[in-house]
Amino acid sequence: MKHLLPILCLFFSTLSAQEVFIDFQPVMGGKALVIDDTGAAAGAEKVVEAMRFYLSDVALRSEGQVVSTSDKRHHLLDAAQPETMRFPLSVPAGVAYDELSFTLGVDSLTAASGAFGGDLDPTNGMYWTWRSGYINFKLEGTAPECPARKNRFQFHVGGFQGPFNSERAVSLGVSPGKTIPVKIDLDRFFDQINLAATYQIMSPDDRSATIADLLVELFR
Amino acid sequence: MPNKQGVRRGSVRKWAERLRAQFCSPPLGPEALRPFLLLAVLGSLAMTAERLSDFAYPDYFPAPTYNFDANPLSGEKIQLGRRLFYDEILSADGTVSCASCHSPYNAFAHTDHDLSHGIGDQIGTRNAPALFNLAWSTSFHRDGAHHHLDLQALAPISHPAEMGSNIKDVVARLRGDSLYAAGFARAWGDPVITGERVLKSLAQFQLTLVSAGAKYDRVREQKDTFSDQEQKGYALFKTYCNSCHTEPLFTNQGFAKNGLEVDTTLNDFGRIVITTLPADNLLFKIPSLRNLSFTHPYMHDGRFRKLRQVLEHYADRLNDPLPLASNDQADLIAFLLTLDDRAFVFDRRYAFPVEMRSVPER
Repeated sequence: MKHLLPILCLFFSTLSAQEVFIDFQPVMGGKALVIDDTGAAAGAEKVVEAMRFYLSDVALRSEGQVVSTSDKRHHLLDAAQPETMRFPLSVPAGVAYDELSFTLGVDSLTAASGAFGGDLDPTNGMYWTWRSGYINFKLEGTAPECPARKNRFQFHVGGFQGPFNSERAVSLGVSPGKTIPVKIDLDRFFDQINLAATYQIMSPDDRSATIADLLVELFR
Repeated sequence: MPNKQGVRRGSVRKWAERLRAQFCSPPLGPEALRPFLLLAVLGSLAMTAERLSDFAYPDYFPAPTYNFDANPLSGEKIQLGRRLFYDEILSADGTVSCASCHSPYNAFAHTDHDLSHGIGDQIGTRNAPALFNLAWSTSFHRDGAHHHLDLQALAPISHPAEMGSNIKDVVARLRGDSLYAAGFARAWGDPVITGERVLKSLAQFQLTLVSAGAKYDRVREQKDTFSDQEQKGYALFKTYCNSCHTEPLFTNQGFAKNGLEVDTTLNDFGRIVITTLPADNLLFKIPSLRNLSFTHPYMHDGRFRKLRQVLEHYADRLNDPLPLASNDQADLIAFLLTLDDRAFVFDRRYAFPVEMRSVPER
């Protein structure tokens, strides 16, 4: 019996932990976002060519207390690769939760600590080269009203050093289920951003800090 | 206390003496075993010597700021980094290596070039800084654009006027080179080549570039003495220079506005470009004053060919001129020349890896 107990505990804990998928769903024009990187639109209509962003410390909470965290501390999500937009958290059975929390971006301590591999490897194209810092949120595309060359807009929101640190804490109320859908409302983004005036953000400054604030509001 | 990663010079010497004693004493075993014993002793000597000399610094240096726990030094990683440092494969057209603008014989600066040239003979906008004592550096580039040695290399790799490539393509090119598969396997335990491994290997080689063998250092260790003129210059240095160019590294790692007029052909405003903070306008990284004989021309845009011109600028500038008469300047230069570290500049461990000469055409 003495030997059986740990095995039984292990058995039941495996049996009783459940996987909850966090499913990020970008929405534009009221529909699921379709990445169009063909260049075919050529400014005739608004298209998103790339949308990639980092999440750190994804957790489910109950009354503010963390009940489950992701195995991976940092996730790189790429709207062009649906498998990256959805990942599981393991929640012990019978444990309730009412909140999903994460940091939008690479947390600043990690960003200050040198080179890393995996999702954080600079080969992913999400690390600035001309200066230190991860690009925490990248959104690129074309729109007719955008006056840039080839009507392109490029938002590279990043940086971890004060006063323009772009990491943002996000907290969402959620109900338990096998999948927790998180809408990313790009319509709200384009409602707030006038592409005729603001279409190239690639440095950490007060403009990018304002956009980082706006990004928090997109997650619902 | 020896540092985790390295040992201070005193300990290196003791080790070397012990090993020398071991090596020189006659082997004890039977005659037949003598060649094997000799081999074993030689082998351990070579291994120990390599490990001990990876990263050593004098007692009077502060503790390094680089976090070695996140990237522990190993001989194989250092050698891989050294190879990468000297390999033009990092650049888009295979013509430019790190060493192109950071030459070992110039204390890893680019002597005689005010601004350096990258692929396609393009000219940049800043003077290539010398590379040494980087384990103590808390920022990199003239404007402090990068804060970490590991990631700094992304800048020259990606800059269109320097190597004109990107780390993803660099990794792809290295993966296509069988010699590197073996090198990465030796260094990292398997032949997988990643951006992280490339950057950390490069950082390891650069971390070993410790310059602490100048006359100044010998004086600190009481093995030499300054001449009267050097001593006068040292006194002037401590009065007028040491607050920014703080000994023994000869930089306080900070940024300063040194009173230079903006070169309107470059319009380089320094640190403000990175921080966008008005207070950082025209601030540039304070460089070390070690190895000045090898690193001319001087200042962020290499505008002064001679050390004398630099001192004349500080003596003549409108804001806070330093009261340095002509003879003071001569004394100061005499002192500054005691910071030349010829042992560092001609150290074979940092030079072009000889085995790369036999690399077949790619």
